[in-house]
Amino acid sequence: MGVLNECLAKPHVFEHKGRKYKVSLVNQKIKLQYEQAMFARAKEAAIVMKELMSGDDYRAHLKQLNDDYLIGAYGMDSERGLQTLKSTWGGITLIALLFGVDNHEAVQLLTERKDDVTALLQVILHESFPAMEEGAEKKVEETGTHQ
Amino acid sequence: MRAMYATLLNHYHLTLPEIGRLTDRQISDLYFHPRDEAGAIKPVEKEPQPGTLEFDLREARTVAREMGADVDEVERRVRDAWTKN
Repeated sequence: MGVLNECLAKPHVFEHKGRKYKVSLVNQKIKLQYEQAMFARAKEAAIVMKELMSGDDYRAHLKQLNDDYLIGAYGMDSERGLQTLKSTWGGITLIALLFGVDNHEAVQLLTERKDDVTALLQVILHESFPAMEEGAEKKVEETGTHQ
Repeated sequence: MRAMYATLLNHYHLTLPEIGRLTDRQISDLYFHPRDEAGAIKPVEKEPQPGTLEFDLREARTVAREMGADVDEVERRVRDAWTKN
């Protein structure tokens, strides 16, 4: 760990029950995958709500969803993205993407090795995003905002 | 972000898959590392900490410039004071 790892973005290795997981840093590909997962979830929610809406409302809702996606409102570092990262779904989805597993396995990993996974996640976030001023990381934890 | 990707493509000739493997930190700290007028990479400067000569010199220079005083003279006095202490 350290400067060289931050420069090389070398994946971390996490061992659990005899299996070695290569855990990625949060690179642009992971950010894109997270954005796509968020958008897919919003579409699924829209489908569920379809029968509760009139045709016009549903079309307006889909248009809003599409417009939001195009302006980047589903980006991982958008306001909405940062909010979802604080949610259970966001945390599990991010862990799943970083570990290269499905959400079910991510939940299992979190249940069985919560402290280790959380500690590794903190290291990964530190290595993935630009250095913050001293004390800013604490502020991020408190407010959930990433300046 | 788009401008940053465009710079990575156009200026650094990275491919999209290569950009995909980069973290925000790599892009910021390596590709957009501060450079001088000639385009050479500037060394990382560590912020001087209070209680050090470097800190006092920086503070003194700032005050001297604001007050219109002779910066070199103020700097010399700060160094003298540190030598005596």
